[in-house]
Amino acid sequence: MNSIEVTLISGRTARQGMGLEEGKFSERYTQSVTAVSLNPEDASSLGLVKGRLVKVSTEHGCVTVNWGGDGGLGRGMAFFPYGPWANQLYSSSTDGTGMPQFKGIRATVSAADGGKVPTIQEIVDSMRGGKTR
Amino acid sequence: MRYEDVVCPFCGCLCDDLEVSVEDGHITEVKNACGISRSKFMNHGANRLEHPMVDGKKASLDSAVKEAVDLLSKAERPLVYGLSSTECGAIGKAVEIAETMGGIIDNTSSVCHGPTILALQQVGESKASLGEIRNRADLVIFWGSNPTEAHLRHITRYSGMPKGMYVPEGRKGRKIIVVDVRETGSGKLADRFIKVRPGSDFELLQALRACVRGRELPAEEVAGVPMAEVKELADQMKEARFGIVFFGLGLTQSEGRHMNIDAAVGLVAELNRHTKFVLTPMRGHYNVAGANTVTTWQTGYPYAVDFSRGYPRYNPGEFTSVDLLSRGEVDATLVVASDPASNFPVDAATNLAKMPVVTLEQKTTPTTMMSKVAIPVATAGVEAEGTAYRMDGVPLRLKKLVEPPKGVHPDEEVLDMILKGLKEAKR
Amino acid sequence: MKDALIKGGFVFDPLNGVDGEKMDISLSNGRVVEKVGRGAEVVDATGMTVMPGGVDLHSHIAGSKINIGRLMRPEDHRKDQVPKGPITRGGVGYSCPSTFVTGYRYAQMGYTSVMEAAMPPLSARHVHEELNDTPIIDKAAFTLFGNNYFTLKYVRDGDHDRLKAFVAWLLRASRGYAVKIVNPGGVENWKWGRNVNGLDGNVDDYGITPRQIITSLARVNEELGLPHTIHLHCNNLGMPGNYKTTIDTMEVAKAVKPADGRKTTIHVVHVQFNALAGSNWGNVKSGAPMIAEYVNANPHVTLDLGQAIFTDTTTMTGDGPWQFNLWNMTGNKWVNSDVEMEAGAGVVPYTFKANNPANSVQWGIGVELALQVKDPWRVYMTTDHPNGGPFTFYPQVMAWLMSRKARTDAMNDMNKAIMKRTDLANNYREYTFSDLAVTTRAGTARALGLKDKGHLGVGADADVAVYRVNPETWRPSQYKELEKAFGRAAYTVKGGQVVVKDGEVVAAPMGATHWVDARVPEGLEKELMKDVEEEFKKYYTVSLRNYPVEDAYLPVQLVHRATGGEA
Repeated sequence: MNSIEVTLISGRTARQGMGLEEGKFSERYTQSVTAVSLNPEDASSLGLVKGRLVKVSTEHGCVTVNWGGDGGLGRGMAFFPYGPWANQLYSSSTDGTGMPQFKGIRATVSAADGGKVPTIQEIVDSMRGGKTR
Repeated sequence: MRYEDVVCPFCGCLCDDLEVSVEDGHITEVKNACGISRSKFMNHGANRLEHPMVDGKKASLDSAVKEAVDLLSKAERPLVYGLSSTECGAIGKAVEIAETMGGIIDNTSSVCHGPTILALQQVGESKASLGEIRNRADLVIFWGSNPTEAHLRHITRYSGMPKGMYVPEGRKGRKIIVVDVRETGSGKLADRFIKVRPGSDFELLQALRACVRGRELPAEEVAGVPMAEVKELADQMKEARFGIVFFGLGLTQSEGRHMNIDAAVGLVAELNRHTKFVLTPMRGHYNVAGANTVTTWQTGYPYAVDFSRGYPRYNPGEFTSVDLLSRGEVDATLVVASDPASNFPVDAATNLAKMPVVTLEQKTTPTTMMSKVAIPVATAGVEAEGTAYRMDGVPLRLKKLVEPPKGVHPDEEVLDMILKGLKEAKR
Repeated sequence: MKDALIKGGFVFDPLNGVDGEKMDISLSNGRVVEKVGRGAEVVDATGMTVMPGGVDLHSHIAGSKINIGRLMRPEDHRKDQVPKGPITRGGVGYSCPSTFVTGYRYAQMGYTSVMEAAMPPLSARHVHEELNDTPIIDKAAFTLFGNNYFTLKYVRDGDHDRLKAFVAWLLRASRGYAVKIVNPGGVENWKWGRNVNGLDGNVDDYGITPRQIITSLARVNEELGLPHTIHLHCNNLGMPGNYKTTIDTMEVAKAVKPADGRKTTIHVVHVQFNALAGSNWGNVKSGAPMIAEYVNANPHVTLDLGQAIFTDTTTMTGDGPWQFNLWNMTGNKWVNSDVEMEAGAGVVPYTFKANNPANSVQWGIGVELALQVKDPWRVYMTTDHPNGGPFTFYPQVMAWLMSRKARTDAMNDMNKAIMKRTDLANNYREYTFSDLAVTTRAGTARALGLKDKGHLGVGADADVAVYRVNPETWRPSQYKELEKAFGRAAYTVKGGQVVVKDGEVVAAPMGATHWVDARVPEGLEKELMKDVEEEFKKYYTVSLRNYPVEDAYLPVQLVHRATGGEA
């Protein structure tokens, strides 16, 4: 399986902001936070085409989401908007500061073989039924 | 009915020049608002929690409050969290609730600009209100901040476009520099974009400070930036008439956290020996500054405050919510004006799901879905009045433009009901 | 509320000429009355000292500056953690106390009115929100004017009438009580990183001088008939040699005609920091004698001490450039906060050390000022809380004023510079109980124009402090007993209600926020507003409509009308 190592950044987007004001279960919100942005060359190297899904993994978790190209990203970087999908990947460790590291962690990205983007209901259900790591 | 000079309750810009038209108790038009703000006003009535819920079933407000009081008073280690998207009266009540329960109160700054506060507690901060920037700044630096996606009118209203008393040319009288790990929309509109290696802002800030001090550094590049460019930036900062660094979560959430801010503060302080320079954190939510401000004047501390010994104690890392939740140290949570289930790393959110949660919210969120008690509340700034503090600490009064949905009350009122119930329970 | 009778104490009510007479004080409906009936609550003050409740005319207790101090100093809080009680909220104390604790602790010392010394109008709401969370005491806040754009503009243009209209309007918009001036011109220059070097320095972008600013505001103040004079923090604070600036500043106000009914035209604050002689911090010595000499010969001046306390405290002033200097001198953490169009501020922790020669001289200066200014009606005891030290140290300061032994005991532990560079060793004056009542309540209330405070005559507010010390038997050698008595009031009565008993808070009602509503002719106000509207659009980042403080921020208010400007 072809995969690349990236530095993962999370952050806000305007679409995410507009979406969450509609509601966290709105189409607009879901679409705005279930796509990871990749450098277009990186995306090509993974054989990604429009409509394919990607799997993003860190040592803390993994999630399957959509992808989009962003020329502003350098190679080896990925941007994943804040939200319940991105949070599957982050550690709760704060190094005593209270703040998890939401920016600049190592992640692996690969084309998702099958699988689908979990719905927000599924994510909530998995948290409710879940065990801590 | 047309309301003018309406204060927008979305982000730390707290724009107060909105025009909102209301007909038959509904908002029909919003002018001067950014896209996110428009979405908030026009959609405030959409997807609302219609009635209080207990265990997923419809309940009356009284029984929901009773259930909330019951589960909170039985808890050994309750947490009160959120508060950045509501007004100050509600925040004060939340503090009193935490004190009454002997629990912990924390707000969203612990995952946002908490590190900025930690740095302030170490080395300070040289800041100015946004009008000072508008009137005087000829060098504007955005560091680890992307206003084109998060503070949409910042550049238009404060930091880029407007004519100022000493910047009569407006945009042409200013140089905008963006420092970030990737070129964002903000980077594209800047006069100069500087790409910094992820996790290396600290080194670059320190190197700049050394250059400002006239030190020669034996390096060819710092943080991926060629040394010549580092020196050039340092000189540009020294030669500015009035410089400002707006910094965001790129600094607070990267490796180094508060030490990144510490370095930024130190650089700006050093620059004050040469010229006028200030820095301002780009606060995210419209009243996270208010959450810090109210909590500080009432308890002495800005967030992560524990009352279990009867007096307030402060210790980020120990009493901050992500830590508390991930370590399983809390057994009940009251969430106000926030969605931690969405915003916290999965371990912390999963542990939140394990305990009884009371949430005061407008719309369905992952947090309300895992709550034992969910109570709909009015949207401050649209359906309820109160105070909010702008990112630079300027307090403005939020207006009530329309009535909340039937049976829905402001946060402060519902919290007051819970507080009274908790005090009764103690007797 | 029940009537109350403060029975059998030794009453000091200098405003009404009562000097230790054994008498009863009757309280009804929140006021002092001639007498009350049998159902009254009796407070047994036998053998004790009875005074009006304390009136602190200069303290930093509410608003963005003190809150920055709180935010900055978790380590200060940990020294003084205050648990919640059955009727009191928890919090923190020491140099940056939380708001609830501030109210309780002032009341515990028998204080019933406190003035917040500096309010930037743009964040006036913040001040009022904090005052609303400060229990028991009555309060007011002084609006900053000395570096305000409109002040500078109207002074530059010689537009006296508009300046007058502006002062009246801004006091109302900010719900302020008095005109506060901090390093006039200097804070404006600091907005470009500069300062002003004295009364005749240049305020760069306006081509005016601090002297002009002070003169103009003082004249407007008196013409409006405001209850308090201008409240001024001089230029050159903290610079050895600055006593000259202070005297020159006082002289500026001499030519101003005072409002009806008073002789004073200026109140100079925390003069200790501005009474430095010598030429640098290495040879600094006391400038108190020169200042006292001037004050003694010039009845138009009042001042407060800004007494230094040997402890770790937090400096916070509206004097941005001074606070920058302090950062450079100490390397301590530094917060600067410039407010658009209006003001500035800075906060830097600082430790006064007894073995430090300069600090010991500063300590001496404060006490010397109090002893060498002859008229206690014009010199007031403050520590400029928390700049000189936390207000909870007031009883110690009182002891230094009333007991030479207290002073010499303290001086024995200090650097010998105290002996060589001040004249304290030769000063034998000791304040009487009456003097103390004047310098901490009667005099301050009078200076503030608070006619119902600071005295116990019929009609006064029922604010009374009872201290467990017998003024007839007390000797200055017993200064520790005095400290204890004034640190924990036997009783504090606020508005006729007993709020403190044996130093413990037993009730925490909400006090009132006082502010001044001054008026000018309608036409003049209209002209002003046209100008203000235009300028707001051009330069402020908030709408004019959102600027004035709404009624919602003053749940309990007391409005003082000033009619001098109406003619």
